[in-house]
Amino acid sequence: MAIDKSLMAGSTTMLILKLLEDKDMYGYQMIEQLSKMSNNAFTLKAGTLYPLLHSLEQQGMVTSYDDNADSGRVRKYYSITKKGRRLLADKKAEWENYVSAVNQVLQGGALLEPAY
Amino acid sequence: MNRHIKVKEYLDIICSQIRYKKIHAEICEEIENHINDQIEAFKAQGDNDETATIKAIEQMGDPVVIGTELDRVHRPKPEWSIIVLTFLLLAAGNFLRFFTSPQESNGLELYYKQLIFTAIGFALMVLCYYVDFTLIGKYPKLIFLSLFIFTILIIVISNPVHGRFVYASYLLLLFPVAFAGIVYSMRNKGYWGIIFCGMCFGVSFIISLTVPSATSCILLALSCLLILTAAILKNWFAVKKFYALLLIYLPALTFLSILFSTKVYRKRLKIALFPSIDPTGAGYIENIIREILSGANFIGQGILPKSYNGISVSQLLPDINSDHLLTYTIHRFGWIAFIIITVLLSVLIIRSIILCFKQKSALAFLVSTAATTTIAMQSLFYIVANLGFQIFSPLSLPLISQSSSYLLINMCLIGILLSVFRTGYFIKDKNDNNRGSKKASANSFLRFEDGKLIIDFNIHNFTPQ
Repeated sequence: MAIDKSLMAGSTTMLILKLLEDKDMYGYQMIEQLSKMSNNAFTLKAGTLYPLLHSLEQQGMVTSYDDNADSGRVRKYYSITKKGRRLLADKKAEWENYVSAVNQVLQGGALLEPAY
Repeated sequence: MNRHIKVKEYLDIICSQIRYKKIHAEICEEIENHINDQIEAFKAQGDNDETATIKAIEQMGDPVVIGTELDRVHRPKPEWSIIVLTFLLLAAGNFLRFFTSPQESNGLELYYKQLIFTAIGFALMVLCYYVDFTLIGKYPKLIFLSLFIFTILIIVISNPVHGRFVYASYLLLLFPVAFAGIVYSMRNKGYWGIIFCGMCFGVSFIISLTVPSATSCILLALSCLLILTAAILKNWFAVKKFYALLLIYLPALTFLSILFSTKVYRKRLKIALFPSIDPTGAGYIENIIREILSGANFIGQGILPKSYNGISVSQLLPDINSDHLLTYTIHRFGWIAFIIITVLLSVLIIRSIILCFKQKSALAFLVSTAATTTIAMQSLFYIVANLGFQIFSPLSLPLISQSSSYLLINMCLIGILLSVFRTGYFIKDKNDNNRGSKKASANSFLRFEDGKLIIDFNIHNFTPQ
């Protein structure tokens, strides 16, 4: 099942960095991998991916280099930097907070103490 | 692979949204690769060429939206940190010279002249900022030759002041940047490339000897050495790094050791370190500087030794507006002023160095390194001299000390830096097997490189238009 775009928007950066955590990848590979890892729930558009990758590169979160892929075509690979790993850790923590808060509300909220 | 007309249209629409044209080719290549991968995937699922292409493009998303987003990311941005620091240094210089100028003969006149030249320098900086620095990579030899001829011309037509062609000495500070262009043009040219760079350095070095300006000589030599070293470490000449470094350091160190073993320089070095051995002769100025500094306070005006009773610093120390502005500043306002000035300059230089290393393209890296080194070395020589170690006489304290010509040159250098930092970050030099060297290799079916005979069927050389 595909997921509503607006739900994904805030977490795309985190997902991209997560993908690059283990190995360097090029754009197409990232979309494929994300789709595979999420059981086709996340279909990231190339139009979202590249501007995001380029701005992450400018912020020094990822770096890029050209390399020959198996097909012999030159591909632009992205690689996560130390700064990027730190951002990923922050985003993960933020995300976990958010998820637990949402879950709490969905489950009827924390028991409210009387205010007096 | 031939490009499908629909793919071309799609890429064109993306590019039409991106105002910074230099990035077009790189973005096209990346997006096109992506589309091709997607086409392959659809074909593997059984689609024919046409359907696969159309589906792949649809999958990509709206090209106008992508283009607009990419435009936002890649819009050239001014490097505000450098601009702000430049203005702070200019302001500091004006503030300090406001105090020193009235004490110098025709000082006020020079003060107003410098104000006008600050405005001209600003215009020059803006010009260098907007004129694309990649011109240096496009016409390196022409630029170097023009600078060379222009400097020679100045030497021929101008009259020497105290035995020195001063106008030519200012121009010497532009040679490192021009030299960076030469190094850039010698990519993959092997040891001959390095030797050619050495020859270009040689002619500029001879000019600096003709001027003559010992400080410029050393500044030029160290800058060029640094640029060459950086290029070799980046494997720019495609040769063994060790031998390449040997090739440049052996002559450089030999020359320096010969220079410093001469009597003149041995004496100069000795005086610079221990001026008190000749306090009324060669060590006169250093000695005075040290005495002034010994009486300086942390904050506020310092006191002079008793032996100078009744004499003011401006009478004691020559050129308090230009060559010894910093010494005077320490005396007049205390070490705190020295700390402020050196911190401002250091931040400017360190920030520039950090940005130099962020550059992806070798041209951007080499040019910005050259400009930064030129500014850094002027500052270093000046500060050391003003602290009483005159191994090399000071040229100028960039943007601060009195000299309209040095001001113009330094504003030019900062303009070039800003131009690099504005756009250089996105510019990339390409590997040999794709478009970067297309011009060089497209026409040569047979090439001989690194001991290998290469037969090029030219199948990789397609350039997105």
